[in-house]
Amino acid sequence: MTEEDKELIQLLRGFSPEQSSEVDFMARLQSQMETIDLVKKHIEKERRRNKYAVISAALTGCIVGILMTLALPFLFTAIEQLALWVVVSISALCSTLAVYYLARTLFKSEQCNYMPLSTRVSLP
Amino acid sequence: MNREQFILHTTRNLEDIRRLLTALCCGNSSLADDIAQDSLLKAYISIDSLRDESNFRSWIMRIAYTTFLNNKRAHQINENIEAAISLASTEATDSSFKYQELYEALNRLTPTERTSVALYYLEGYSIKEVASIIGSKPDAVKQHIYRGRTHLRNLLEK
Repeated sequence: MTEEDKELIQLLRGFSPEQSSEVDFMARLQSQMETIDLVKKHIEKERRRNKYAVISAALTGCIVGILMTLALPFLFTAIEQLALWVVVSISALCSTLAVYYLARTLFKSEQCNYMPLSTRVSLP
Repeated sequence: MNREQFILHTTRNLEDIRRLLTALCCGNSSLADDIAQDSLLKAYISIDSLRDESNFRSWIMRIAYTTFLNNKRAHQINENIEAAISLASTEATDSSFKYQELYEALNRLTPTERTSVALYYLEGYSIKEVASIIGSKPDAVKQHIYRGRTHLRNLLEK
């Protein structure tokens, strides 16, 4: 390693540029972190809501499907089996979707407490 | 890692992160601070991906490096070093003048060379660690450091 190299390395190793206030930097960072925390909380709530809605919808779909299948012999025996199955499927699907949306509404998270009172809104 | 631990680790490594980014931004301390903020926020968002807290420093440096590269690609940092120096000088006049030649020389290096040199000499990382941070092979890093050092030496001699 040459003498110039050594000088250069010394210059680089001693590099300590003047920085703006660390306190200000951390204050700015923490305020942005708070915003991230709020968004994370909101996403978590949404995820939980969606999970409950999916579970409720799946259960309802299964139950309605089973009930309709059991009731099949007593229903419109004259109608073709295929047509009945279409009815069964549509009923199950409609119930599933209806319960999904209903569950999303029922499990609606509380109002956003972190927002100022004037801007509080109900989440969809 | 929770929020308090993240802040604790950040505070411990803040000076190193800002110094590295100031070198990568060739003395533009405002830009360096903005990139540092972005990097730390990205790190905070993906905090769950950090398995071992002892790797925090390398992990945050890798994020800082990629954020710097993304920022450079997005905004094409002004190649005119005088503009960068004038920005930096508003906040740290003495320091900017002190390192003006170094910043000018660093500005002529490629981002990879600059980062390799900065991580190796400024932050004291080993070749292997630098390779893991910039996502390259140790032999390539050695080349980057050698080339960067030669360029810097030549530029500073002029």
